[in-house]
Amino acid sequence: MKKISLLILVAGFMFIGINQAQAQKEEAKVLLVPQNDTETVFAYPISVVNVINNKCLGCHSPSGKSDDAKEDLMWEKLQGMDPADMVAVLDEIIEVLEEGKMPPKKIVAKYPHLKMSDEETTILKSWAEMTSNNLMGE
Amino acid sequence: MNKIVKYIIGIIAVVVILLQFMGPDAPDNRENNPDDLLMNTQVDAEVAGLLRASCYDCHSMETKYPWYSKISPVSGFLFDHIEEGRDELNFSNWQTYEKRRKLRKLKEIQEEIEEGEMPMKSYTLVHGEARLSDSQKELIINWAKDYSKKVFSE
Repeated sequence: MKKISLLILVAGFMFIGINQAQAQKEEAKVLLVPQNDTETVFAYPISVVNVINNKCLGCHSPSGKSDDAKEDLMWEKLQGMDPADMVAVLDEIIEVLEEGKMPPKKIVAKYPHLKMSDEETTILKSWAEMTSNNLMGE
Repeated sequence: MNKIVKYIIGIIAVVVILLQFMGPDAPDNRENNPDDLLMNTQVDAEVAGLLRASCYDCHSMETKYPWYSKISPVSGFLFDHIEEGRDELNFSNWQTYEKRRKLRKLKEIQEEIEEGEMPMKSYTLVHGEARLSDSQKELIINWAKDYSKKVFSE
């Protein structure tokens, strides 16, 4: 009897643990608010948010494990930056996409679903180009 | 025992001598640089001097090669650094950078100098004249900030 209640207790804790992990994952997903407002110079359209969610936020968000990745880029911080700084970050994003450096090859080898398709690269890159042009008033 | 030591020294000497003939070529310099930053923008003379003294050896096509750059294997390390440096930022090609890239490079200059990452320690160790004092660092950082504003509003 004791054993069974202990088992239930353990199972209960595990359930809570899993739920929390799930909640954290969900949290990462709502960091970027999609917007299709043409008035704002800087906005994340849904198509872009999807790519970022699926391919980038694993590392480039507060829940990411790599400090280097977080130091290099935090997507949700981009929105609050000074426009010139924002352009600088976008330029790096464009370069990294052009050179196919992200997601890193090592990570893709381990988690093949993180590989960025050509279509996804195009979506993200053209958004970054458009946004940086908008920010510079071009 | 003594013989073995002599042998080893002899082999090392032969290898070093052979290395002199097969070392890598130095990255080329370029005489005319019409796209150079300092040729195209009004940079305060003091800042321009600092950039030349502390950055241009690796971040331009006007590298001043020291005598030991002809000696392998030192030359290999040196050439790698110069190539990498030019790849990251090349003041001789400044005007060929897109506006957004200029903004990024100016931001990176501020960060690298502020964090003391640049000029590299291994470089300033032998190039005392390239070392930057705190006030010199501030001069470069302020220049990069101001120039970045200018580029942004262009």
